[in-house]
Amino acid sequence: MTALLLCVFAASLIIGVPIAFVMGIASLAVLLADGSFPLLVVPQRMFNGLDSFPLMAVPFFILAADLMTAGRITASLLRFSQALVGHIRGGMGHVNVLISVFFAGISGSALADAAGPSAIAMRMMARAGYPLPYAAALSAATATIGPVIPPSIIMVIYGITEPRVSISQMFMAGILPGLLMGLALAAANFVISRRHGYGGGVARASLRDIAATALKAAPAILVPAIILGGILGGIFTPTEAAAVAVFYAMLIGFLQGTLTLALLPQIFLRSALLTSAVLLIVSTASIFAWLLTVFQVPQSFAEAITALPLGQIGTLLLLALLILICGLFIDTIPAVIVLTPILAPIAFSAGIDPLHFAMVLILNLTIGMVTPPVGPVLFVICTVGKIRIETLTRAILPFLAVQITVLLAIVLIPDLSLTIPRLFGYGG
Amino acid sequence: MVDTFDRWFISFNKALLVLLMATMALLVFANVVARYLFGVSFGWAEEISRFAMIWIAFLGGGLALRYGQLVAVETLQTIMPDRPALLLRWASITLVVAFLIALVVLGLQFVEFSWNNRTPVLQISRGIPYLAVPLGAAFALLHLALGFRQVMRGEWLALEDFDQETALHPPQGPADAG
Repeated sequence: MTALLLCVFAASLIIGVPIAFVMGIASLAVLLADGSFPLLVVPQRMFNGLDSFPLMAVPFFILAADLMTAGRITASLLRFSQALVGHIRGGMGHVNVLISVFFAGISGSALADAAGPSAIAMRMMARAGYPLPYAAALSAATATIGPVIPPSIIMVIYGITEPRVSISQMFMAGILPGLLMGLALAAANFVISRRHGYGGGVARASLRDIAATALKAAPAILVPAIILGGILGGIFTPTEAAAVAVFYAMLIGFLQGTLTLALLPQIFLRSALLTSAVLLIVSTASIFAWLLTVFQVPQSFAEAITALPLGQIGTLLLLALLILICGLFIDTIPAVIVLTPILAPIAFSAGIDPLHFAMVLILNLTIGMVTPPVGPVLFVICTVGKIRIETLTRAILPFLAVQITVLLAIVLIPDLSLTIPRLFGYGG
Repeated sequence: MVDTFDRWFISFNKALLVLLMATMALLVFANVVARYLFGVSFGWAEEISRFAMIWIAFLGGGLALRYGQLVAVETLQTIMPDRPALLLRWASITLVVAFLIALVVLGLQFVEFSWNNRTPVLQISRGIPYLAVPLGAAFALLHLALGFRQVMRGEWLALEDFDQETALHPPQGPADAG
């Protein structure tokens, strides 16, 4: 039955069925063939998969980011980034990295970053004389920082799937790996730009310029502080923090005059459509994941892996490799819902810290967003940049190597993930 | 006639989503404020907002499809010649339609099955929130029927773009002239 499940899954995925339906179709087919469960589990699991208050952080983070974007916050963040790092060799590339880091603190999704700030930074790089494939590749790579630095939609979904770690702990844990990823990509950009002579000779911005642009960007930069501060201070849960961020974004937009009441319905609609697209995947993925547990896939998998003489680091490396391969073919959110119940127990029985494993899995899957054949961020960048996927895939290879190096560092050095959570009392 | 109904249906669906989204955000925010300022929070607000989210997920699916927001792997369709690609698209839509019909039927059975149970806080019939599943699937089927030709051609409705770039004249002069 597991084989049938995977076959129907793969076949319907390849012929182009939307991913939200793929897992529902595969599950229904297997339930029909198996015949030992009442079919009512389909609507029941689909509904229950969404019936969670913590999950509501997802629509709120989407809405907050959309409101911020409509409130033209991206423009002020870009100017601030330009004032800060524009003069360094490869300047617009560094701006591209920095804007993604800033935006990651507002939005929880790599796709939002790819379609928004990263796309804009890409066009600005192209205009400044960088080759388009290079600009596009860097934009795709930096977009994956979005879900690593909090807030993060993937972390919310991981937290619902796996009760051993909390969403707030993951938010803490993601900060350092996300910044490290940004730093590594900036370093790569610096080296490549120096070799090819991209983007030099830009004057350093004056302190006054920096201060002026910082003031304009401050409301946006404060968002992560409000979210994290509120959660850590015990003032609100991640879901409530996200709702507060929504109203904060509206307040800022109205105060600055960039947002009008007339715009709100459009923004709400845009967020609702994306919410539906994301949550339908969560919904059908929960039947799929349930079927895998019913067929005891996690158990047989765990037995197979624990039988290998690997030790802690060996196990984690093997798991990371497995996730990386799965990430090539499965989209991030279904991958979290399907893989976590299978792989997380193996990690724990090998004595790996739950939070550390969560970071490895999440970072790993975000890298999967920029690898073909299923690389949603690549698709977005190709569409907005009008560039062929083959060209982009080739151009992104150096950055992919950097990302995998960072991943390896996260795998091998647990402290990178655990230091900040420990400061706030995580006892791992 | 059909076009008029289609336009009406799209607007109706949009309005529903906007309303649900606004309700959800308002309730959760109000609950935080109420707890922080007055030390009270409302269980019913939590329950309604949760149901609103689920209704957005299901009632938004069909519309999300027409706006091209449902991610699919279209690599095979794009590298194939026109004829076989069309065949694939037919196959994929047939599967989706079959699944949606199953969801309408099973969803209604599920509503009926749980009609006499009550929700924990509001004490309304559990069947009411569960209606989201069959209703959402029915909405999606209707959207597929009305927009069949566009969906087959991969033509999507367009969201209004708050184009950030028009507002964003990249600084001229010294900034990154290289």
